[in-house]
Amino acid sequence: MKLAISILLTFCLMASYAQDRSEDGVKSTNFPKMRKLVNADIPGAPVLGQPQYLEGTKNEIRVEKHGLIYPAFFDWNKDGKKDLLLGEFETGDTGSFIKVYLNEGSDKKPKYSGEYFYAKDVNGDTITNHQWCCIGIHPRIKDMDGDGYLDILSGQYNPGKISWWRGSEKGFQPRQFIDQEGYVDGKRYAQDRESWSPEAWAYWNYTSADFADFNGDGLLDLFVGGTDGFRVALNVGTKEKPKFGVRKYLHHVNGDVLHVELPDKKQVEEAAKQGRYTNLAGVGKGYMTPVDWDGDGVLDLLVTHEYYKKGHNPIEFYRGVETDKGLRFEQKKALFTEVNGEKAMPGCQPMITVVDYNNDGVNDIVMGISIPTINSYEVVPEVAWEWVKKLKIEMPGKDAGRTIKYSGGIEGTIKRIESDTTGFFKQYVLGILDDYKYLTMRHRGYSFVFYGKKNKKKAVAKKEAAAPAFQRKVIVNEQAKESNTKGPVKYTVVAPQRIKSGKEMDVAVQFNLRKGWYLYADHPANTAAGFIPTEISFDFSSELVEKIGTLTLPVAKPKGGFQVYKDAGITFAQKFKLKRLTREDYQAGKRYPNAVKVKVRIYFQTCNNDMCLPPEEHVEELDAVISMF
Amino acid sequence: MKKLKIVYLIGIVMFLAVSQVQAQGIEFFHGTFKEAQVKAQKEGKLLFMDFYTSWCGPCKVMARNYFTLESVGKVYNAKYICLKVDAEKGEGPALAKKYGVKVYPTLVYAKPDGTEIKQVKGLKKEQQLIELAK
Repeated sequence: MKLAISILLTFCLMASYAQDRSEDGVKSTNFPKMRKLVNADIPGAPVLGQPQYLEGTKNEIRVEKHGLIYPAFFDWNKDGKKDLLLGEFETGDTGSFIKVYLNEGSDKKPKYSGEYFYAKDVNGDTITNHQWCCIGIHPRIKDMDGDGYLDILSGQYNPGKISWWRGSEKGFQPRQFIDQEGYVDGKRYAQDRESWSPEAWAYWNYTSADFADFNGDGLLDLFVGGTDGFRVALNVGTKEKPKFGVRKYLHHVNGDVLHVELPDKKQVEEAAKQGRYTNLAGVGKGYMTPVDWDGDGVLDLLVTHEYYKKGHNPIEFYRGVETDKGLRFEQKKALFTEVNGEKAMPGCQPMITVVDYNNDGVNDIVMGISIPTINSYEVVPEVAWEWVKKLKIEMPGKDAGRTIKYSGGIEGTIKRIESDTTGFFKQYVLGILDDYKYLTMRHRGYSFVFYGKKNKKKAVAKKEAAAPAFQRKVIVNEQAKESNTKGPVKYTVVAPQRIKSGKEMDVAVQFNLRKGWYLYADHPANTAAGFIPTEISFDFSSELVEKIGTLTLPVAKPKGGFQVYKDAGITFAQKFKLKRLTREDYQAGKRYPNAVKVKVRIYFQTCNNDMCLPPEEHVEELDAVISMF
Repeated sequence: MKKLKIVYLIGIVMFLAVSQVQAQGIEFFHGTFKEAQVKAQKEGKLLFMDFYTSWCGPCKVMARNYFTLESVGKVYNAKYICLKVDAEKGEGPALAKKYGVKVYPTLVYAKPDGTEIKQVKGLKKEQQLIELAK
């Protein structure tokens, strides 16, 4: 019975991983003919040959599930030959595994049958970490703790933990996490904080990881890509107990944030108006391979990313330069391009590893790339050679072939497409493709080897002075209106620029009095003596705004038996929030206005030791825009 | 015994009279501005106006601590018909407007016909008040 259940469970798991091992022997058809590539002129860099499809002698070497493919090499069976590891991407706590293909050739001329098993730790548990759309387990083989055993490390989608399987004599230890500054387990990270703050969701999201020594202290630092672009987190721990510090942007020599493509300035400003921070790297699903690619003794970067629109290249090279401000990088250079300027590789989201695959003393590149197939294993070159963005189809992770089951399979999906007059659903599953045959489309991962040959030109390390690093500014959600009073009393009304439903906000009046002048507090002794207390009241133009608590008053100070406000720090504040519209509200036709008018009435009378001025009443109005973000 | 009683009484009365004279500060005129003008004209005096308001602390301090001093009263009572003007009541607002009073206390010194001689703003103490009266 137990066995039956476990078999059933295994079966269910296999089914939900969208991988049928009985199909391992099925070969892909219609594989695209590769195009001719030309190398960029990079002195010192290996001159890459044309990509060689990495095929098993018996079965194909490929990655299923969501079709992302992360190659790596490690001598799994300790026979002195490099074995091929391929990281997978499946959504969820488990399912993103590492395929191990044992090398049945030589170390110099690897050969794989295509048969594989999943990498397990010393306890026999399959190595995996939590992943979500759209990043998989990306095995990095490094000796993090310098104990002489290679370890496996990987980042993850969210919350951006670094998984570490320490190598040992007996194999890989069970997974542990490497400490990261600012990381708190289970914490809900803010959507509206500056993206480079460890408080921000974007800071942690899509943590793609690789490791190299950035600052020359002998410890491996974290090179992290993702939602907030390309950053480095220095290893502030020790060899035995590594810990990654705060992630800091990598910069170009000219001071720009390291980027594939700088975002449009207008777009950045528009986003800022809504309180949003733009990713300055131009890509969100980016991976860095830190390596001295041109052999000049300075660390360079090879960057891969979505590779989904015209202008994208499969691998961007960023030459490292030692500057007075530390390691900086030159502008990107495509490692290779297609001879006629066409799309260089089929598919999208390439992942690479740098390895001397044929032991000739020159680095080679092994690339995994996601290529679309239909009807199980029929590659669709017309889609593979086209840009995902142009076709408006989904990237690996949301392929139609894996989502249509939620719409009743092909039949159900077609019915739904035909009954949806808006066309949205059709575009969701098919993009601009106009044939139902593409409904079965799924990305699958295939590998290619780019053999490197020694470059005749040598690179000489540069020493340059770098421009100051670009400093991002926090978008302050605040607007202030200064008083136009003439006397010794000045005030500023401070309100948020944007409000969103459910979030508590503050509006305030801050007084600034000339030395010696004071205002009266609302106190019985004052009123009994006939003195005029300061009055502040806030009104909001929308019934959707709700005041929280009462007005917060400044601290009054005694003066000759009376209570007054004087000196610095006289602030009246009111908390409020925008109510959430309920379903009933919507049904009743209620909508959020574009903005809420904050109206403040300010009434005060001021004196110093010698004289008094007549009371003044002012009404100030500010607009707080309602933000849905 | 009866005589003694009378002497005693006279003594008390005299003492009171003397002490009252001794404690005599500014003696403010109770009447309208117009009546004050007439009285000033008649007695050959000038006008002194203390503009105050009910919510003015320094006004109260000046009235309580300095207008009550004999040294001050002596000078002002001799030379001026003195008026307290609540700038927010009765003919106060009109007078405040007439003399452009916007700060309290403001002291206005004027001729019997109302022509302003000088105006000072803010609380003044004994010596300043005496100086200003000259």
